Amino acid sequence: MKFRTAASMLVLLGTGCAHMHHVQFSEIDSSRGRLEPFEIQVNDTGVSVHDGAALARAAASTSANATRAVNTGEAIVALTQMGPTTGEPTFSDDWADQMLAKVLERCPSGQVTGLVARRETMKYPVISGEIVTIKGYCVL
Amino acid sequence: MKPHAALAAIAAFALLAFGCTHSVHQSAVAGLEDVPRGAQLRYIESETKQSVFLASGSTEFADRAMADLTARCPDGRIVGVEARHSTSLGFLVHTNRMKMSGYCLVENAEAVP
Amino acid sequence: MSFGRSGLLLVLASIFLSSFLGGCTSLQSVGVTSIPKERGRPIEVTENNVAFLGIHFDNDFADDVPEELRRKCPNGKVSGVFSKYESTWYVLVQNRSVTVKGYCVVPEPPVATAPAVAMTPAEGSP
Repeated sequence: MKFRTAASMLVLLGTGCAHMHHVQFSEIDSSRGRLEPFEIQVNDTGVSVHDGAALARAAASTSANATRAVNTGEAIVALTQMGPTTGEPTFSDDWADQMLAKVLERCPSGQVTGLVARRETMKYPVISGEIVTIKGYCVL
Repeated sequence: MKPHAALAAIAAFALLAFGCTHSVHQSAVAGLEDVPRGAQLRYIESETKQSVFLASGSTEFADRAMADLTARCPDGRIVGVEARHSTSLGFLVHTNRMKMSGYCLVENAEAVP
Repeated sequence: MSFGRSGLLLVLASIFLSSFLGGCTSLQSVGVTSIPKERGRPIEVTENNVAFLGIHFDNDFADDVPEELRRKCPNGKVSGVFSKYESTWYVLVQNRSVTVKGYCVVPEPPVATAPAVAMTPAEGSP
């Protein structure tokens, strides 16, 4: 019963929680021609060891040894993930590279204005979506 | 012995599975506002890193990345600048990374029709 | 306590102390713009904001940065702007710092051309 309660709470609390970490705006020039909007989004999956450990603790709540093992495991994993984080850690750091190359693919003429860059996280139980979105306008 | 073996297994698994986790903090983009039509663009990039044991004393790795990128286009203008700030997490030590990229535009080069 | 353990503790304590005295600095965000070809006049402005326990009551400490940049480049264009926002903790005191670097590009004055003068025939010439 406790596991179901904990899991339900995690689902309710963690479902679709959106966090915005950083947003940047650029100048917009409407005087060079018609503007056609575009949007490029890249993402990677983040893993929250803390959420996983909380679920494991809820599942093992009747066994003190199991709870201790989960706590120790969480501490060991936390030691291997030291450093500042934005959102949850991912297994690669190049998933947000080459964004402007993708922009130039969408606007082959190279005429771009109104660039907006947004770094956000969609938080779910245990996993998260780490997202970078670039929006702008192609000048036609 | 069994609890120690279990802990050793968890530690080994953690180091293997989670020893290579990263966190991308920011991806800044700018500088595509005044690129001439048909301009020839040359892709350039620079990457710097800073290994930190527990606490860091400076952020000069970001300035170095900017200086390196600037040095790769001495005779032209750099447009389409992108800066990615990330951290590679690790056991007691983490590595701050700054990767900058852009396009070198030499304006007296012949434009592609 | 053996010398080995006490020596190790001393080394760890030194590392911690030097970290705290040197400050724990983290890069919060960066901003970039296109970089000009003319880079002969680099300029830089830094604004700091110190608060005990990191309790700040406003965020306008960097509002004067654009004006300072303009003052350092009165007749030109500030281009190639690289901005950096960092935070440093000295045990219980936090310093927020915004550093903006750029290049002052002064446009070349237009080359003065001599005005055209109507030629009048000299006296005695055919």
